[in-house]
Amino acid sequence: MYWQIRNYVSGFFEILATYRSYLLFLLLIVLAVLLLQTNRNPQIDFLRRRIMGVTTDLAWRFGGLVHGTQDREAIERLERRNMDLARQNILLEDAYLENIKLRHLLRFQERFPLKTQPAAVIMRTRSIDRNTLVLDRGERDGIRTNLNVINDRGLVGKVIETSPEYSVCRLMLDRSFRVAARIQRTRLNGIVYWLGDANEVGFYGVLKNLDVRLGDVVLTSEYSEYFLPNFRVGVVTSVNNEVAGLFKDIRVRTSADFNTLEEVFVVMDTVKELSSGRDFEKNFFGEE
Amino acid sequence: MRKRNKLILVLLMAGLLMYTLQVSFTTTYLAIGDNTPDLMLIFTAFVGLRLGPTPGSLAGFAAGFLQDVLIQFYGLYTLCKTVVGFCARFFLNRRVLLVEKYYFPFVVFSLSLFHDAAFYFVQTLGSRLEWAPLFWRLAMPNALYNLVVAYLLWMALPRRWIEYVRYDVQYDF
Repeated sequence: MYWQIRNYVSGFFEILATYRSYLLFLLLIVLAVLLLQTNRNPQIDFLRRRIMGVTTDLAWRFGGLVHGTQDREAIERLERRNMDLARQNILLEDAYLENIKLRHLLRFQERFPLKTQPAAVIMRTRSIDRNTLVLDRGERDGIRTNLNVINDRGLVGKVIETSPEYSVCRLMLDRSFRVAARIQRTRLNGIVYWLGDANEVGFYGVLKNLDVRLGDVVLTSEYSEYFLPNFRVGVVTSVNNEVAGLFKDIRVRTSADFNTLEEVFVVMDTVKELSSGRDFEKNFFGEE
Repeated sequence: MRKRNKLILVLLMAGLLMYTLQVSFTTTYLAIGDNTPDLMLIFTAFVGLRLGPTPGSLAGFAAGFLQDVLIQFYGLYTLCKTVVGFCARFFLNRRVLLVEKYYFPFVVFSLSLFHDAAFYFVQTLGSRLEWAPLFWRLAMPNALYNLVVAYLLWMALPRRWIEYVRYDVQYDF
C-alpha cells in the first residue's frame, strides 16, 4: 500500500516536472483572467453577459442528463421559469439603475444654462499616455473640434477629432491635456495637467508662499484658450511645499469620476461670457 | 552567486529599466501620432525567445501587470503579454541563429500584431466600433514601429550582453 501511494506521488511529480511550463502558463492565464474579472467596465460586462448566456444555454441543453428518473418535465418547467425570472430580475435591475441615471442627467441638462448635446460613450481607449473617449455624436449633430465635454460633476475633456457620426474626446487624464484653472477661494491661477493616476490631476504654477488649502475647489479660468471659465475641475487633496523649485506640488481629485463615464455632455456654446457669471459652478452638483 | 540567480537579477533590472523608459521616455519623445513603441513587449519577446516559455510567460505576466496598473484595466495587458511571452519560444529555429538580428525584429513584429489584435479585440467588446479598422490604423503601425525599435535595440546592445541571456540547461528554468 505504501509503495503504491509512493508510486502515485512520484508519478504525479513527474507529470508536474514534464509539463511545468504549460502548467505555469495555465496558472498565469487563470490569474490574468481573475484580474480581468476585477474590472467594472463595458467590455468586461459584455463578456460576463455573453458567458452567462452561453452557460445558461448549455445548462438548459444538457442539464437534463443528470436528472435520471426524476420528473423531467416538472424540473424543466421550473428551471425555465427560474431562468425567466432571473433574466427579468437582471433586466429590471438594469432598467432601474438606468432610470435613476437618466433622470439625474436630464435634471442636469435642464438646469445647466449653456446649450449642451448629450452623448454616450461607445468606446474608451486606454493607454499609458492617451486616454480618449469615442462619443456617439459627430458633425451631423453639430459637434466640432475643441468643444468642451463635461458631465454633471465637472469637466471631462474636449473634442479633438470628429467624423460625421462619431467624435473623439481627449480626457483630462491624458498626457497632452492642459487647462488653465484657478482656485475658487483665492483666485490663484495655474495649469491643470495629468500625473498618471486615476481621477487625480496636478495643479502647477502656484508659488510656495501663497495660500492653498485642502478642500479648495479648482475651476477652469478665463485665460484658457478653448475652455469656458468656471467649469468645475476638482478639489485639492494634497499640498506639498517640500519639493524643488518655486512652486507648490498640488494634487487635485477630479470632480468627474473617469472610471464610470458612460454619458457626457458636449457644450455647444463657446462664448466665455455665458459661463463667467458668479456662482456658475454651482450648476454642477446642483442637487447636493 | 549562481549564474541562474545572477541572470534573474539582471533581467529584473533590465525589465524595470525598460518600464521606466516606457513610462517616462517613449510616450513623451518617441510617440509618432498615436503610435508608441511597446518596450515591455520587446522585452517579453526577448526573454521568451532566448530563455524559453517559462521565463517568457513570467516576464510577460509581470510586464503586463505593470502596464495594467497604468491604464487601470487590470488583466488586459497581463493576459496578452503572458501569451506573447509563452509563444515567443515557438519562433525559435536553430537555422536562423546566424541571422538573429533580422529574425528577432520579425518575431517582435509578429508577436506585436498578435498582442494588439487581442488587445483591441477586448477593447471593442460591447462597443459599436469595429475591430478591423482599429487593427489597421493602430496595431499595424505599432507593430512596424516595434520592429524598427527592436532592430535598433538589438544593434545598440553589446553582443556580449545579448549572448549572456541565452537558454542553457544549466540555468535550470
